[in-house]
Amino acid sequence: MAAFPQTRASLLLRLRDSRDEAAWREFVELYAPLVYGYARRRGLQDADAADLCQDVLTAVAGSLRRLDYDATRGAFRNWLFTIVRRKLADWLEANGKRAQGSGDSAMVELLSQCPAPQGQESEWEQEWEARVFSWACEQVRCEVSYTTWHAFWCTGFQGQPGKQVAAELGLSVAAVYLARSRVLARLKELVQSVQGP
Amino acid sequence: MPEMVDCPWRECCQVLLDVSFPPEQRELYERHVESCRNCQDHLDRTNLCGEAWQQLAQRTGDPTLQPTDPTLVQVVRRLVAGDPVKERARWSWLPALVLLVALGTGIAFQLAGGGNDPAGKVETATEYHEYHLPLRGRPDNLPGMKLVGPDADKCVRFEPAGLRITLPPGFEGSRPQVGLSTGLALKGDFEVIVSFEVLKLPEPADAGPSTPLTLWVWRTKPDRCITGVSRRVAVDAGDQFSAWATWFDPAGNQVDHKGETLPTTATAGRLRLVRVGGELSYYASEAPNAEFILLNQLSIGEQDLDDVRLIAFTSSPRATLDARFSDLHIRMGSLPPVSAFPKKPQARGWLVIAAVGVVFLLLFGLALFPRRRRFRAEVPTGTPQQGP
Repeated sequence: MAAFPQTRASLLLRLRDSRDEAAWREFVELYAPLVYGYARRRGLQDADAADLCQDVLTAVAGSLRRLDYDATRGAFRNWLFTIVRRKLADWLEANGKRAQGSGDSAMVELLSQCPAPQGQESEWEQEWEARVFSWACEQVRCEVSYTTWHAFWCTGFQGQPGKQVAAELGLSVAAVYLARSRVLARLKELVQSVQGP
Repeated sequence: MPEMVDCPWRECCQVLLDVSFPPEQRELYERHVESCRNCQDHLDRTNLCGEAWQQLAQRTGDPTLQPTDPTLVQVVRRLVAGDPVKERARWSWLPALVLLVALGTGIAFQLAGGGNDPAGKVETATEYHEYHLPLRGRPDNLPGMKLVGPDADKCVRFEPAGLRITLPPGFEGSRPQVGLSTGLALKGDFEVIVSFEVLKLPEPADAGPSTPLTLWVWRTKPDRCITGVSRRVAVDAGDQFSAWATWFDPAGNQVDHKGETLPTTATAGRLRLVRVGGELSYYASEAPNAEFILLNQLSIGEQDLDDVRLIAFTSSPRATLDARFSDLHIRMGSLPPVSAFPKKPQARGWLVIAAVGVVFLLLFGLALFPRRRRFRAEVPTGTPQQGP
């Protein structure tokens, strides 16, 4: 297996060093899909969501380097959500002026969704958890073979008996259970590494 | 090693759930669990993943099989390629401004009709190219196209429904690939998608080692690498999708092969290859409008690929194949900036005016900037600036 990645706390610290390209890459790969997906679900077109995503990550990285984020004052995910919402509001305001002028009903409807209702925070929490889970799965999938991953997923999440999966994949029964244990341990390790305070 | 008489299911679970046990201590339990239904039941019932993850997995499905949004891939790639914060800190605005002016002028020239699209190219933005070849009838915009393989003129036909490849039985041994060589080279990042329709495939017993229809690409320099994604039938594995790559040395000897397969019953669907950086992702869908399934990901390098082919072959005299390809989409080259993505159709005239306007404003700003700097420098520190 690959070396254990840096913890998220140290990732945020590492991001302060503009020469640490690996930290920047890890940061983008983890958070860009989260921000992009959130923007898409708020109704932005893909290109607009991509622009917003770039704005947000640039702003976050800049803030981290200026030491604006203080981990003792709250979870990183909440701070990130604040920036996402502010950038989204800016975008909606800029585009809303055009929309009101043109009577674009879709844009007016989009505007009506901002400011965020109460439910958006829990929605963000859910998307955060889903993103971290997906990211960890993607990392582990790159580290193990297809059969190991498939054995894990079928027995871990689909409830298939180990013996059946072993027969399908041409593995021993013990190998299937070990695959499940190993992949799960690694997943937990990765998720733990990115869980904020 | 002694056999176990009583079922030690607790120890067995502990050993097989705790990955820190040394292999030599696990061996006995590994052998035991192969035939012990009791231990298997206990291990199956042990919910290691927890309720929260179970629900998450139910909601998201296997994340590694989710189709990737191309726009997201591009924005990630662009962000990773250049840390924008770092770029800003370099005070590199002047070259960027000059480049922008040049680009604006170029865009205005293109929009005004100054550029002609080469045959087959339907969209360009910087070095980004996109092709759509319906293959419904003979393409007239593929100058490098050729049919390949034995009896290709009989076996390969352009029909209104698509490119049809019909391979009759009776070919002894392994039939060389038969189909269409597009003559299109792939450079940089790319995405290739083609629809397929199976009209007839052999029974596994007749298929030989492999009877596939394949979206196939290759390169000969600096090494020889052949790769592709197939819908195939194999004698020992039945109906499958196969995603594979094979490397050869200069003498033509195979030096490496990597592949993954997925059982399928699909008779129509799509095959897809996506390269980002040096990583090639292989996908297939089990219906024309179904979501793509990620089959494999391999590092094949960033080198250019020489050709895209739609081919089929047989490897048994009893094997026969009849299939169609249609709607070949290719996107490749330097990825376009996101702002260049089409959002809404707009009139060209406005774009021309806007581009010329941008160029004019930038030039005006460039001319004004040194004066403003000089003016500010002349104002003594602490002196309030007066309005006009």
